[in-house]
Amino acid sequence: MIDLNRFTMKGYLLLFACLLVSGSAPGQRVIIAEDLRGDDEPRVYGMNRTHYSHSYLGVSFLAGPPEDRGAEIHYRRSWSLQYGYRYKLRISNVFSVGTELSLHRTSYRPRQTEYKQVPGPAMHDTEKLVFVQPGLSYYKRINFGQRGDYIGRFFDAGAYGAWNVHVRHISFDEIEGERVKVRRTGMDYPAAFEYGVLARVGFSNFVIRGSYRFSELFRSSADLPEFPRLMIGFEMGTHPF
Amino acid sequence: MFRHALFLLLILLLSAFQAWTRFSHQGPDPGMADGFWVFFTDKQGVEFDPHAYFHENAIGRRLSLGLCLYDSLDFPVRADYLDSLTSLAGAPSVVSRWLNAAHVRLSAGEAIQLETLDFVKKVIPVSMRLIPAAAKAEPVSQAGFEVPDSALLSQQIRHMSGQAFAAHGFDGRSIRIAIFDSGFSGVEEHPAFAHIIGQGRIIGSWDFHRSQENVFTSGSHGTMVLSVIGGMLDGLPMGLATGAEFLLARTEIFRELLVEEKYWLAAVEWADRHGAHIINSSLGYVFHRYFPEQMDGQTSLVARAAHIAASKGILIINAAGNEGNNEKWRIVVTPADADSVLTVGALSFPSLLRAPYSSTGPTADGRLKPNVSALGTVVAAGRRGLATPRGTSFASPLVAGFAACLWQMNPSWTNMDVFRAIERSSTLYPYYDYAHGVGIPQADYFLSPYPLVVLPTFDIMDGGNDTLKIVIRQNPAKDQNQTDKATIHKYIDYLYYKIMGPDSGIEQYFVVEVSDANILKLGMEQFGPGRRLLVHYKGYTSAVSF
Repeated sequence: MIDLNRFTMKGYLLLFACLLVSGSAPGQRVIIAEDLRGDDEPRVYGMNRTHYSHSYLGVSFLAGPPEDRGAEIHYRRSWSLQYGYRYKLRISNVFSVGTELSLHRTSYRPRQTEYKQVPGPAMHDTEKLVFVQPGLSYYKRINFGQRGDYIGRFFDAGAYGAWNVHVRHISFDEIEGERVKVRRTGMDYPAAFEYGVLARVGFSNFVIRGSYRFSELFRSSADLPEFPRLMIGFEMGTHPF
Repeated sequence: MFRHALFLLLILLLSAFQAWTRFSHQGPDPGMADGFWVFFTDKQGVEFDPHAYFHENAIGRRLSLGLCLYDSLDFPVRADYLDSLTSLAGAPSVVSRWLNAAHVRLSAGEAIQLETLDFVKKVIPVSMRLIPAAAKAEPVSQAGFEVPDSALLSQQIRHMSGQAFAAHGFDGRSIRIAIFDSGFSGVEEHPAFAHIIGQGRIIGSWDFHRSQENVFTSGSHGTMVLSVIGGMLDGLPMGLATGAEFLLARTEIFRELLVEEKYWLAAVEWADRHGAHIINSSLGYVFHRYFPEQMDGQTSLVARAAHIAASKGILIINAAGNEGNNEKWRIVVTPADADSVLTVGALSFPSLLRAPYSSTGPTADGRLKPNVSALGTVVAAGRRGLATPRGTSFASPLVAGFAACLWQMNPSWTNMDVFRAIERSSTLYPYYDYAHGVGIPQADYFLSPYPLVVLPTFDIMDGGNDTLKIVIRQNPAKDQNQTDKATIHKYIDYLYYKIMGPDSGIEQYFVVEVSDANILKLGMEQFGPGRRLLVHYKGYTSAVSF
């Protein structure tokens, strides 16, 4: 039996070509076929080669104080999910630069206090503001230690920008024994864009990340205090370990 | 407003950083403490007594090779240099006589400062991950003490016709084998090692990570490897060297993410000092430290140490590595890339063809690797019973056991005599490819009662219409007082062929299952000028030049 697990794509092509060329030899069952021509071409794609790209998944939580008591949040329940695709251009064994496309879904849970101002003073049983943000970022990387074709230990610093393409406000209240969910979109107070800086430290697939939002989350005309600007979380690269 | 200005300032700083990185990328790594080898300039004035330092085996090896017993490589590192280094950077974790170097943890800044000292030749960073050559193989199954696959247990001896060694009384006696691995837990209690423990044939052990003799506390990869060299189950051998002596070195720790080559280097010198004839290393360094194009047998420190060990008469047998399925690597790992290391690839059971995970050749500089192949799926003694692990880790010790028997049989041979004889005995020799090397070593080659002859097993003929036809010969004639090489290859019923380029490198290689006498028809258009077709079937190799 031919063990198909043995073949690489190149092997399959070679096997196919071999069978075509060999015509009708009845005893011929090629089990291994390897073509080494072209194997010495320089490789430019790899974890520590000129180009590399991979996707990642991340989760971050809000940290730090709000601008004032009117924008207090539930920290553990205010978080952001990220999925992104990262490209890295190697400059040397130590330095790289890169960019990434990402999609964020960030959920803010305002605390229901008497001081509450965001998005309005009305109090609910629970309430959240959800921002869906495609974004673009740019980073510089320093790698530590000697390594081969491997991500290794690194520190990233960069900047990001995101478009608040979809913002919704969701509230839940118990009214006459029934749980009522109200969902609003098209509000006039969210800003159109967000930008800030980011930093990451990582070892191979495992990354701790932090970002600081410089932009306002709400339009100045809304005159709303800002939620915390700092987010801290972790990422998991989907490349091989 | 302030926040916007700060953001712009940070962007500017990032851009400045980019400009700096663009023009300063040749500089040293910044910051963090890491492992460094500090190489010293000389060994002047040190005292060395080889008879006090070496085991008599090590002396014998050197004398048999005509080597001077006072080789400066073996001299100790100067104590005053080590004292100075200790005062500046703390006590070294490993000191290498052969490299005249010490391993310490330093920041890059400290490393630069050390390099300015008179007695320091150079300082190089080392930080890598060593991969046991079974780490990425199929899961190990623990099967209690019942033999999980008796056909496999039998075949792991018989596919090398290893029963012939046992029949002639060769079991590796008086041969000392050092095993570098990640732990030997269960060896003291497991019945597969009762004959070794009972006869006191574990001559020495050292845990290089914990600096202690006890290597039986954690990790059972080495336990499995030891069993495949010299274990026995109810009188049935699991490997060929059931009578050998062993040195067990724990050089690797599974749970660490980043560990270093220092323990492997230290263990080689330890094995040499304690008189090892053979070192089995089922470990290798891969992408964490190197690029595949650096697998040239010269770049890595472990490859260089392997060369030194070989020059002192030790036969180093190393697993090829389990990167065969890794499209970004595929080739052998280091130190299996060194030409003085006998590199062993793994075969699947029962096909006896390259296991898909087994690393292939050639090396980065185009040399043949692996050298030979053996079964990569074995019955082995695990921590709590028997297991059927897979990996080149287990092909390598099968060949180590073979080498021990061969060396016992020919005690005057040098390590490279044994190396070459193992290659010569192998099923495909003189044919080779980059999946199997020269094939499976065969004990029958050395123990056949009659002279060995190679009889043609096929013909290459004109197939018409610009084709070549290869036809298997039926029942080739032979003298009764001769052993046909084909008969010792009874397990292998494949036809191997390859196309060599004008530069004598292999361009393409194939294995074809033989199910008909008219085995192969090849179109002539694929053979350009200067190319050669080499065909092998059952011990016979023939070539056609174009």
